[in-house]
Amino acid sequence: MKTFPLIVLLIFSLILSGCTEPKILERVGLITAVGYDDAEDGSGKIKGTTAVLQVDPDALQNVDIMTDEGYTSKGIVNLENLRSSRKIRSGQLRVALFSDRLAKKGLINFADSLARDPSISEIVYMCITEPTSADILNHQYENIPDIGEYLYRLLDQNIKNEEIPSPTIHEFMKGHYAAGFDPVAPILKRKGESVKINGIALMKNDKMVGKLNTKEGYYIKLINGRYKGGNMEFLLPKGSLDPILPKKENKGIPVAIDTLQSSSKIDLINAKEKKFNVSLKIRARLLEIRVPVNLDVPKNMVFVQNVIQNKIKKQADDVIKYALSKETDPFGFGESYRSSVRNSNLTRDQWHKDVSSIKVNVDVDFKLLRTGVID
Amino acid sequence: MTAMKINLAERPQHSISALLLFFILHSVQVGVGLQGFQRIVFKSAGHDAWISVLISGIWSVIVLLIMVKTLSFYENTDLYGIHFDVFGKWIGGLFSALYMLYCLFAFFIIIRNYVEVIQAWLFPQLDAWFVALTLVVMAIYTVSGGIRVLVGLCFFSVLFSAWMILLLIFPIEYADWRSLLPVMEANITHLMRGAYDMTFTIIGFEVLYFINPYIKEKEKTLKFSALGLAYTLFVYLSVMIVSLVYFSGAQLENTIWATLTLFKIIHFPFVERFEYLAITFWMLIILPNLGMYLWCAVRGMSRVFHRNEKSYIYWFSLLIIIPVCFVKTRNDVNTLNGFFAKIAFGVVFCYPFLLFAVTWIKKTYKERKRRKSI
Repeated sequence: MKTFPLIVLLIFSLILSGCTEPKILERVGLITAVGYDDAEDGSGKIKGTTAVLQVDPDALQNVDIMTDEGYTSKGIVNLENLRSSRKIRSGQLRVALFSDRLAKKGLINFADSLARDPSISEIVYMCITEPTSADILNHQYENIPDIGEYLYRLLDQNIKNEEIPSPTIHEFMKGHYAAGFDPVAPILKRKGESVKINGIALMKNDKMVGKLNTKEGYYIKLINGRYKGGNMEFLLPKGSLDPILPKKENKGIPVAIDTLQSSSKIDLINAKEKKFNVSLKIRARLLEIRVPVNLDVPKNMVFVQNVIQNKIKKQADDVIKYALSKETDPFGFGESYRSSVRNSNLTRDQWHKDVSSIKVNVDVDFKLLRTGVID
Repeated sequence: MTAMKINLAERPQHSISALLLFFILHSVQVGVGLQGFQRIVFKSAGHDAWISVLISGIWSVIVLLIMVKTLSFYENTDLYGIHFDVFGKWIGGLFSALYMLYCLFAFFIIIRNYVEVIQAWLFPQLDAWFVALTLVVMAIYTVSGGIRVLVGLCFFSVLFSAWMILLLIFPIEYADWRSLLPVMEANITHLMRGAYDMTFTIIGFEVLYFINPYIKEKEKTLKFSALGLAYTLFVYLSVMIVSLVYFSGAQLENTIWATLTLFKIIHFPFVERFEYLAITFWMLIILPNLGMYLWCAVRGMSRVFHRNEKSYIYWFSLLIIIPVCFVKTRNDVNTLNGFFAKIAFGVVFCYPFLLFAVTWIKKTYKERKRRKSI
């Protein structure tokens, strides 16, 4: 009696392997990057551009760029199948691009479609492109054989180095659905033969409402506490270091620092007036200062430190002011409010209405720990 | 129907150590429910869902206590024996038959839910009956091996899947711990409602009613069973808390299998899509559930109806595969789960109290009678 099921199991394991649709690497095309734009004719269709990687040692070119117009992102894949000798699969998708025009209308349908498909990974990067995604994907780059892989490495490297906030599909969806904070996405732009991260798009729910340059985008990470360390460059206002310089400087003074430790704390001070206090604590080392300042003197060091501290405070203030004026909250003030006010029943719409009137004070505690191996 | 023996004779070759109860109860509790219990509880209790999990865990230990107490009125019996003793041949038989039906229903629900996961995540075109058949054959194999094989399976299932809890480290990287604050924002009704919604996920420990006659050291039953339940609670609580901080509220509500989606973020250079591994691995986790419930139902056939156990392993399995094919859509599965959860709440969380009361009354009544006659 006992052996019978065992035999059935063994037979099953032999014959079952042929039961589902096989996906043989040599016979599929792997989408590594996909870009969406508005169709130019204004028909409401979307124009999808995909970079399809083919594993074929004999092929001259391993990556096919295909463009089709359709009403849904999955429909576009079907259209592409019609002119591909390989079955197109999206399991290796790494980067999804959206033109800024599309992003201003809202991306949730695209993101939803990506998140809904179990074959698509949760760590697909969502990016905004200028002017169009097709412009980035369609270009024949001299030194980039696989644009999908290239974009992924480009973003991955910069995310790991803490240059830009991580824009995975999971984080996008999380920010979109959360009551108290909004997602952000990097903006990509083609510059000749390479692609550059050109800024950070501020989203209100799923719609792009504003743009920061990468230097400003840095403050988003710094304030929402996701930041661990990385390089920063400032242009200190001219004359700000004059008291400790041998002669007056009549240009802005560039300074580069490397953040060693940083932490951020958002406190709700007054729930009724929605007053917040952000305390930033940054410990850094000086990498470069483009003026002859004698850092041997502790007094000078403290002076430089204070000037940088004020600069950080000012920039943080500006970035917060800008984002809030666009009615978006990438910093998570809303989350702070929701988590400290009982029964606030905060909703996304409510917070977007309130967010432009909140008051934020930024305290910066900045210290230069060392100046490298020379003074 | 001939009269049945209330107490089973102890057969040392079939008895198992009480320590194994830890593995049995934990492995039967953890199953398909764990794949997506978060959003159901979240809908009731909001970000305080973890408190609901805690409440339901504590509640389960209380029920366990009652179950052990009920069983301790007897020397060496199972639920079928108690039914026969307190309700008599006919009503007791009816209750036993209903309990068997419940076990088969649970068996069916587990299969259908796992099939649903396989279809939604891995093989959309695969027929339900086919996956069901594969699972059922495995369940048949373990159950026909007898109780010791089944217990061995439980043991290895727990042992081999224990590492999975460590995977929660990866989603924590994306955590926003503020999501848990303010604590206790949900009112007590919502929390209780959330605890009630945990039913589907936390049941499984009722198999103690059936495994009891095989336990060697009865005095240690409570200790190891409670430990098993506590470990389950620990697993559920960790998964729930990580889900709450990893997802944002409305996002969690939209995620059907939040635990599997948690695994989606995990990727290694050598395994890029970890959830596929987790889903297939889940078979090892649900196999003890399937085996245990089928075994409980089949036990009833021999205990209550004095039939040949072996042949009913096949009959019952066949009986389950047929309805699996008729439940086709996600909506059907959801409705069915909801219906099953209602029944399970009655059977697992309420009935033991009734049974305890009846057994206790009967026992004191008997005692008094005996004393009088002396």
